Amino acid sequence: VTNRDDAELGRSLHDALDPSLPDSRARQRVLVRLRGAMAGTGSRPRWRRHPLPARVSGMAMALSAVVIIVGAFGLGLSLRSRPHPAPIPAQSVPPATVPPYPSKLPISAVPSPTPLATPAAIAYVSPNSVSFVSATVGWALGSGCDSQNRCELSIARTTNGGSAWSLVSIPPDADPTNASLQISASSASDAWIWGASSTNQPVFSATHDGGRSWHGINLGSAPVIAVAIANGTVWAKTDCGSQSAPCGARLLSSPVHSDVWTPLGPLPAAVQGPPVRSGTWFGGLIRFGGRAWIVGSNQLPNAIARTDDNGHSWVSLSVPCDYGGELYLGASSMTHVMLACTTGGAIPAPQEVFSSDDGGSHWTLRSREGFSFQVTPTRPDVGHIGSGGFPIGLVVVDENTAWMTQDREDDLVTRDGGRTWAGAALPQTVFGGGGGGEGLTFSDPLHGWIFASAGVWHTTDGGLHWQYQPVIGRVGGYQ
Amino acid sequence: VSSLPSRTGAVDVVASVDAAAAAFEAELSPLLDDALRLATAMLLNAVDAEDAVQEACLHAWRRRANRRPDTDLRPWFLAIVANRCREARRGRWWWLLRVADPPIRSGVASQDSAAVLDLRLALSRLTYRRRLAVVLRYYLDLPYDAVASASGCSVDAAKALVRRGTADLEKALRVPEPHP
Repeated sequence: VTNRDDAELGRSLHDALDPSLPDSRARQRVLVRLRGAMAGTGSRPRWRRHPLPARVSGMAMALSAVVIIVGAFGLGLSLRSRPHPAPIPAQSVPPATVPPYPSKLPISAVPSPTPLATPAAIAYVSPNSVSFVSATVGWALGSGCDSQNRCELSIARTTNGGSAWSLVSIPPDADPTNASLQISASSASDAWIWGASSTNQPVFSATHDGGRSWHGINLGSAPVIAVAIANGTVWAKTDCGSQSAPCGARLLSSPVHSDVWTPLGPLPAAVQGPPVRSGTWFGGLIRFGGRAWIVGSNQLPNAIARTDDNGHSWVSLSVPCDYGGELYLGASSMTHVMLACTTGGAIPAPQEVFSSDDGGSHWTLRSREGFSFQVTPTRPDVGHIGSGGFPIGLVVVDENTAWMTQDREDDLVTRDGGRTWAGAALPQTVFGGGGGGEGLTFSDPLHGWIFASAGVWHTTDGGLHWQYQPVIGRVGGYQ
Repeated sequence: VSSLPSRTGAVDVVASVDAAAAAFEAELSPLLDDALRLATAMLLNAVDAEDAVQEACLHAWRRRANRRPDTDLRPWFLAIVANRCREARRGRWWWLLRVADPPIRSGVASQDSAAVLDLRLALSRLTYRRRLAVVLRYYLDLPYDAVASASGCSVDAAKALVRRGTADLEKALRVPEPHP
């Protein structure tokens, strides 16, 4: 290449690389798998990253032969029936519990979906949402699939920290093909699933008997977009969904052991309105004791509001991020709060991390990157983040430790209050090279869980080591 | 204890998945050839390249809400492909399950196979960012602003990366002067 001009370098690269290109059918294979993934929850592409060694293939063939022979002798290797409890009759859904709002149960208006091929015995659950209540009790919602990769909405529960999971029932009126819902739990008995159906109808159901039965809750026509539990109550925030007309965000509360939902005080206008990216609501709803924070990333300038009286009144807090298009708030106590801001768009995205020791009334910049050339006026780097992507979540464990989940980057962890961040020792490679988890939660500084569609990982030493915890079984399609 | 809801579920709140999927595929499909070329150049392995592009497609679909409205899909998607390639190289399986490269197909191989091997070796020894910039600029023939977008840096930084990358290639490929 020495002394060659640009065109010659290009030709040399083509000579060197073109022979190694995937074959001519690769493009079509990619598209076919992508269509499968886009089609729904039950058709995630499952491709093998590499051909297995011949000896493994031989073992598989031998095992197949054994299965066939055993089956021929009638020894019952056929799939068991699905071990979920029997469905709850539709009439068991209680009436609406919030009188001021429409009494019609939105869920009942959802047309019956055409289910995918019904899975037989659930071999594994690929989680979409995980909620841990303590170091031992957790819930997972996702696609439960049989050995033929036929999948449907499934919910599992653990009472031993994730070492073993048991399937529980799913709401009788839930769309079995829609595993994109979220789950939040307050105990081994009480949990809520929320989100929207595949036809964009609100889904909000609760169980108070450990998942043996679920009942729908009617909070109106807008979907629940956030649930937070603290102080013996569960809060639900609804938003506009895909409605184009202006609508107000609402916040409602109920005791965790019952479903008596009452509206809380009106939210400040700054945190009202549809989110910037339709359907995606950043920052969330954070609660700690009687204090709560709500983050608005809507069409208005971003805002943070706080309540100190269990949601009866709210005050707007200053937002320290100069360019923050997306805000992520986390709290480790009623006073210690951290805030991550990013502009999104180009990667690595400009991002900043602030902390507050007075509940967000005053902020201190801890780290900043990407503002030295991507924005005007520029800002010097502060501390060290080292991100090649952008934040999508912030979990604050204590005053020193916080985890920042990132897109297009490994998740990051700080152990000095946000001044410096390091790539977390998470098992990102088994996420299919995904570089991190979909979600992260800690029940205390030592016990944490991270999940992605490939499964759940658990740490008991504050994130130094992670152990795979299959939900029912190891997720297929991943090595 | 709060759990982070995954974005994938939230995104599905919005629109008809079928229509969105069709539109996404139509927009993505013309970019796949470039994506496969980029991944091949970054990973130097056809199987890994196809995997990386597959994962990038899925990731782009799941994260499509992260894309700025009214922006070109190409640099955004190529950046995802590049990141997938980086993750693949960092991944444990890269070392444990590496398989032999497929044989070079006849008819397209360079006549100077030694030079080809030297160039592949030199390319493999470039740092990730420099290799990415060189590949985007000279193998995919992208202008510098597109190289910058896909690399996540400024245009000036992209030019510097390309300049340093080509200098590294020159240095690696320089034939040592014979001793007198």
